[in-house]
Amino acid sequence: MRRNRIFAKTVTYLLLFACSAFFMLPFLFMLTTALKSSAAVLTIPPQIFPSTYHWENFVDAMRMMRFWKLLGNTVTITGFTIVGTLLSCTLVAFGFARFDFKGRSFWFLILISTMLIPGQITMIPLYILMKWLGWIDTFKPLTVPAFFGTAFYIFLLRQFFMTVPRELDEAAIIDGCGPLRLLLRIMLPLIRPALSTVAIFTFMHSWNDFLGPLIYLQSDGVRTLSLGLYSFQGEYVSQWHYLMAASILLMLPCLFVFFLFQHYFIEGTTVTGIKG
Amino acid sequence: MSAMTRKRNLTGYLFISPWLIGLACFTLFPLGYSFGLAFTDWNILEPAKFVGLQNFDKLVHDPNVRDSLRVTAIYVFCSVPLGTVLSILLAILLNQNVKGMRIFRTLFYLPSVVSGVAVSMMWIWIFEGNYGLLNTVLSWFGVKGPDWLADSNTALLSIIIMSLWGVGGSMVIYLAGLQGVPRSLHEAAELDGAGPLRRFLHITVPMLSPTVFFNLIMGLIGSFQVFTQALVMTGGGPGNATLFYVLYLYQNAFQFFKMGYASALGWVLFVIILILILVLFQTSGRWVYYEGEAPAIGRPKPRRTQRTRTKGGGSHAPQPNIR
Amino acid sequence: MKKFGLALTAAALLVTVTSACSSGGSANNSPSSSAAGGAPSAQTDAAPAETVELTFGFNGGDSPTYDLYKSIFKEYESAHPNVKITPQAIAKDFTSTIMTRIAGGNAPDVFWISNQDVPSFADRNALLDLTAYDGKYFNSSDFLDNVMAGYKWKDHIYGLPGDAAPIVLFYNKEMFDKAKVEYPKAGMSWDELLQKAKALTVRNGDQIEQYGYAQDLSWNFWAPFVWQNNGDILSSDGKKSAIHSPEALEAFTFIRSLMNEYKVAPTASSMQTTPSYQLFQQGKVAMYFGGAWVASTILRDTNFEWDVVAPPARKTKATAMALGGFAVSKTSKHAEEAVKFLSWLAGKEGQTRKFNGGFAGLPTLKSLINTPLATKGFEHPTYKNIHLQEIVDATQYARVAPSSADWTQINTEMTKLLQLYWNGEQEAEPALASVDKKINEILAGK
Repeated sequence: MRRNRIFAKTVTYLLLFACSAFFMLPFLFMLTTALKSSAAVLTIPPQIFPSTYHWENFVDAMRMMRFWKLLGNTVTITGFTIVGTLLSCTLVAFGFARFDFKGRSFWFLILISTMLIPGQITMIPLYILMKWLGWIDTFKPLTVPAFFGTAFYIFLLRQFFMTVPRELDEAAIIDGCGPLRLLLRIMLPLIRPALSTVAIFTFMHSWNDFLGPLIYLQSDGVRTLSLGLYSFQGEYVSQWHYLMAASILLMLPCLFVFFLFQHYFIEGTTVTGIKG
Repeated sequence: MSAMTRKRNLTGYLFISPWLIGLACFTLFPLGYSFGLAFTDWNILEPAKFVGLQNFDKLVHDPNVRDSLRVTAIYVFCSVPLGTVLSILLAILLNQNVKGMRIFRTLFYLPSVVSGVAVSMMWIWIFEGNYGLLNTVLSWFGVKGPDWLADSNTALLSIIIMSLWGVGGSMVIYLAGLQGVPRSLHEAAELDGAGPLRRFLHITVPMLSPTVFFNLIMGLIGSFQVFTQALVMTGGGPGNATLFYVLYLYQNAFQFFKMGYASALGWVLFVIILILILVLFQTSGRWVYYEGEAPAIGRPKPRRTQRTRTKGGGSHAPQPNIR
Repeated sequence: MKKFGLALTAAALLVTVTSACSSGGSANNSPSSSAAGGAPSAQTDAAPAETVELTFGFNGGDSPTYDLYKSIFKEYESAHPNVKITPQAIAKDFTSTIMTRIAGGNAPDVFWISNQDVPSFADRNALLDLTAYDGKYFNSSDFLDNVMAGYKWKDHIYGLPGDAAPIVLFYNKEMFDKAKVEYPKAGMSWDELLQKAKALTVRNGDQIEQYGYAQDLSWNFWAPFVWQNNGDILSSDGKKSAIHSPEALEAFTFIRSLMNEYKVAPTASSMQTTPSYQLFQQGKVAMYFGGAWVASTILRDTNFEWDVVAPPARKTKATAMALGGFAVSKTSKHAEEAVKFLSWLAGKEGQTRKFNGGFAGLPTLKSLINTPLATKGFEHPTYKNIHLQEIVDATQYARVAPSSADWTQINTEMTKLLQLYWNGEQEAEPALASVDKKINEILAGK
């Protein structure tokens, strides 16, 4: 029995390391490129490890893309988006999951359908709408829609809501709990892993979004970090070491958020919420 | 309609009202507009011209559309199953109680966080025919790697391989789903003498099925709309080997001044994906298990018996009205 | 740990909210959002000092070039106190972003435009016809004729060229010295090119350590050979394909023979991932046919001495060039002021400042092309013996992309089909035939 355990653990570790290699290698390549001098970036064959490590590339890249200026904008937009998304999507998903109202299937199908249209053909009409609202060159086109739900997260949360047993609802209702209280006090804690997932994904998506900022944010003062990356991509030639350095910098907050929130993935409370 | 039903309907609609408002304000107009555009010839710079069904007729005879549908279909039916299997296996791997698991999870999730131009450039270097990382590694085993992106036979395969690198996203969702599988079930089954494989097939898989369902749908939708990689790395070539459907749509919209045709392409894609999704929904009744209830969409099934032991035993009563 | 996480999240939210209060407000008050709605016209009626605001669409993100442009704008503003220039950087997807903004009625008054896009935009009524202002605010004859042609459509002027960079031949002097081969001369024949390439290809058994020649395979690198042989991509009226000709066939065959037959140039598959400028900079190739712009970027970083010469020639001298220029939006509410500004920017004043500021390219004015200012952007910090005049010479007979409102589509489809030729999957004759067919289909409006 003990031997089985050790064997299982060894296999697990082996697999973990092997997969990590697959996932990490390209990233490692990015990191070493970020540390190269501009001449070393282009060596043929590409050097895996640079001969000299230019840690100042990170500082230089930050300066050239006006990192701190753009950071404030990006944080604001992302912050609002996360708050809006969590608020709205939880409510809507709860509605779809727990209330068998007339027309539910129909509206749910509409929800899914909205995800099927390629964004490229709704981009210009949406831009026209935003122009009509006077929201061009503000953060609003990027933050306000988040408060009205996003189909992807509504769908995700609905799936998770549906895994919670009805017995809990029934018990709560017998105790005189209204729907909102049911949601807040009982359901939300049970789907914490899903909420963390939504938070992580929203953060990442909003943080890295460049198409939205590209067309809606025109002036110098309101641009975001994702656009700043393209400072290093010239018309004909790009500065790869700075580009990689900046990309890595951009990635760090997402990793931090993930690392932080995965705490909520703890398998502590069982879904049934009933002990034993 | 009883007062209870009315109240239930009202509450339901109340909860989904934010989305309904958003739909009316931000979604309906662009969707309607783009639908209308499908019947026009619009070069974006000048007013649109109504052309009726001409775009759809052109679509049917366009060899690029044929090729792009083929390319996209191959990609979808390879990357979605492969990605699903890989992310589930990885999620299981990461669900263990092993030291340093948080770091491993972050490492595995890392690739899906890196985005944009940097990733594409990285992969171009990896896939490079002579000195790329991949062919270098293959040469250690004495294998001469192909020209990957530059060879029309392997270009699509390269992009499929790239997609597997980004499974971190769906893996995280599976991880969340796995966390929702109560340990008590596994323990009870183990006590009853069930081995790991049996437990996997009869506990994990059913409990995970809502998540699988979600990821399948999203994977389908997402992979049908893939195009950035092809845009940056191959431009659709060589020949039409990597001409993804949405890439061709994008080219028509923003490079060929044919936004009307692009809109028609978009709505045709909509219909195709919708049909596939409806099929998935209809068959989901058979294999998706919701601990909470029977699925509303799909074949109505009698409520499954609860497997957990609860007070009062398995309930066959109809759903209570929430007061 | 749980509490820490919660506290951190709360802190993050707090930071977000407080920063929103400070920066969110400023974003809403940004002037351009109100200006776009036509506020200036109200201002011009009310205020005595009619301040006109012009928006300028810049191709690129935050960069030294952007800063240079902004400083030039400031100089214009100080000379013209009633005008305010608001620069708007478009970090990527320039053309599609401009198109989106035009569709939304939010086009910048003046914006950068490549000559390759001028026919497409002009033909579709997106650009202001500047012909009426010729002689008033600018003189079209001030500009180099072949360059000005790039900004005309159907004999009307739709933009003004601001900078040019031709495709020229770079060579590694040290490699030539080592192989004891004479340096390439301007306008040398294809045969001489082949001979020199052969002499400078160094093999080590099966491996090629050094290539004699390299070039990329986008249209502006193979078109020169077609033109040098008196062939062309499109007919002179731009209505039919001309690519399926014996002259073009010769050119295509020659280029590919260097790669696949004589093996003096890297193959197409390497080219896809490793641009030839990279090979040259790394000292892997002796001669490189590329855009002059690399002289001021990548090639500043070499550990060997290099030089540049005007491209080879055959029946005639020809090469391609990339142009940058500016146009005025058709829907600009301040057409007069915009054209005045455009004329200044693309005129002697603007160009002098731009190239003095180190902009990498050649001026497009006859009065500036033969002055030291012309090659200032290409100067090398250490190698002072580079014949930069060759770049100027090449510009005199350089040609621009074929003038067609469907050029982008033609180029996209053509490139995809030609990839099959370059990587050896198809032969020249059927490849050109399929390209020919495709081009004609596009031109016929299919």
